[in-house]
Amino acid sequence: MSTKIIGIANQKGGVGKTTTAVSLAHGLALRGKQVLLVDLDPQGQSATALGRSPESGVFYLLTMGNSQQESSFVQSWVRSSGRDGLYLYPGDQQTMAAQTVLNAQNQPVSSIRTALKPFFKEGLHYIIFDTAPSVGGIQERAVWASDLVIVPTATEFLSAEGVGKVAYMMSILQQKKGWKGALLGILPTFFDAQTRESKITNTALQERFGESVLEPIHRATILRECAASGKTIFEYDDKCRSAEEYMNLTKLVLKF
Amino acid sequence: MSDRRNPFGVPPEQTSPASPPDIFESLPVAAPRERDRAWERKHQNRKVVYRGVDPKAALQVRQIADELKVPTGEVARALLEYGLDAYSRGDLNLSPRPNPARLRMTLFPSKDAPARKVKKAGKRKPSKEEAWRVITTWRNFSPELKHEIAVLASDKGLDVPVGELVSVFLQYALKAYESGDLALQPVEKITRYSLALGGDF
Repeated sequence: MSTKIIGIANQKGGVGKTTTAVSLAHGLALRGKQVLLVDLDPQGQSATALGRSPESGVFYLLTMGNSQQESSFVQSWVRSSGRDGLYLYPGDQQTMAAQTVLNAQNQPVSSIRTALKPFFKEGLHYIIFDTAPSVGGIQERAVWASDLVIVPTATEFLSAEGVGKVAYMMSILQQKKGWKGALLGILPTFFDAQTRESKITNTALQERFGESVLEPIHRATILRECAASGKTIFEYDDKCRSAEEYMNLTKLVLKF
Repeated sequence: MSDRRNPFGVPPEQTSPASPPDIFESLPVAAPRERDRAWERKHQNRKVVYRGVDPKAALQVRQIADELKVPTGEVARALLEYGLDAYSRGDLNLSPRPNPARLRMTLFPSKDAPARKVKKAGKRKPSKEEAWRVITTWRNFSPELKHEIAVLASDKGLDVPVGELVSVFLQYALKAYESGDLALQPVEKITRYSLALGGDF
């Protein structure tokens, strides 16, 4: 199986991108896959959620060239997450600087995919991107590098509106930049069946995107608690509803 | 709530004829991979289908396989071989009884089973799924073991439904697995080699 890149993207913040990226990455690892989680968010919270510290690896991934020496250096930033099959490529606030460099150098949209090529030979099954809630270079390049994109969205009006913007970006990347990837699905998060807003927004998503809307992840305090303790939801409580929902997402991803 | 906007609606100022076409229509959407069934076709003789296997035991087999990250059929095979060995050694005693409801014997006699069921007239109530309807399929199974179990269950052996025999073996082996008497040790499977570059060329 060749390495598959999955981007978790939405320009809106606070929609559960990091939680989804970390849970999906660990879920895939628990299913026996070799997974590299790349933290493209300058907040560096994928590392924090896994109980590790943010580091500047992504800055070098995005700004170094492709010579053998540079590739070796870039690969040296891969960190063990302390979990079987799950590796972390950490980022921190330096990633913001990398964005400026990318734009100043007018790097092509394919630059992140090119930078990741050395990793394709490492026996990895999946590379997961946790992206930043912004536009300006990195997110577009991350989506272009992705074979599949999952768009998490909180089930409320403003977040759902953000989905339209990501969808627009993907259409443009496909039409103008030759992107060969595809949308895997829109993932409603923070779903609360008790509130009218959640239900209406979920219905609006389904009317607009049909079968591309995945089973929602319910709002759960436990997801915040496990991040606080540096554990994934599968480590914190693998029997809870959130763990079950993220494992269902994992199983779905394995079908693609 | 009547003034609620549609998050995916086109703003009023963009509804002029010069508006771009609906971008959602051209959104590339992924389709699930189509499974290549070539392996299944090639290994048809390594597939086994049993009717009437205890669903709890079958589920436990799957859970163990998930834990050990090995194919479910391999776990089933290991457990059944263990049960069959125990039976051959005499550690597992199987004493089939006549089944009043059927011609064959049974390994699970019910004390209060009626000698003969009398069908009541009228509308048939939807009943719970009967055990014999439950179908269990395993792959990566040994054809020899499949044959051995079939012969033992046949009228030349115990004359019991094969699903019952499989259930008894599984339950016996699962008990041994839980108590630690049976250890299942997964080993790494090497499927191919690659050439290492090195030395003087």
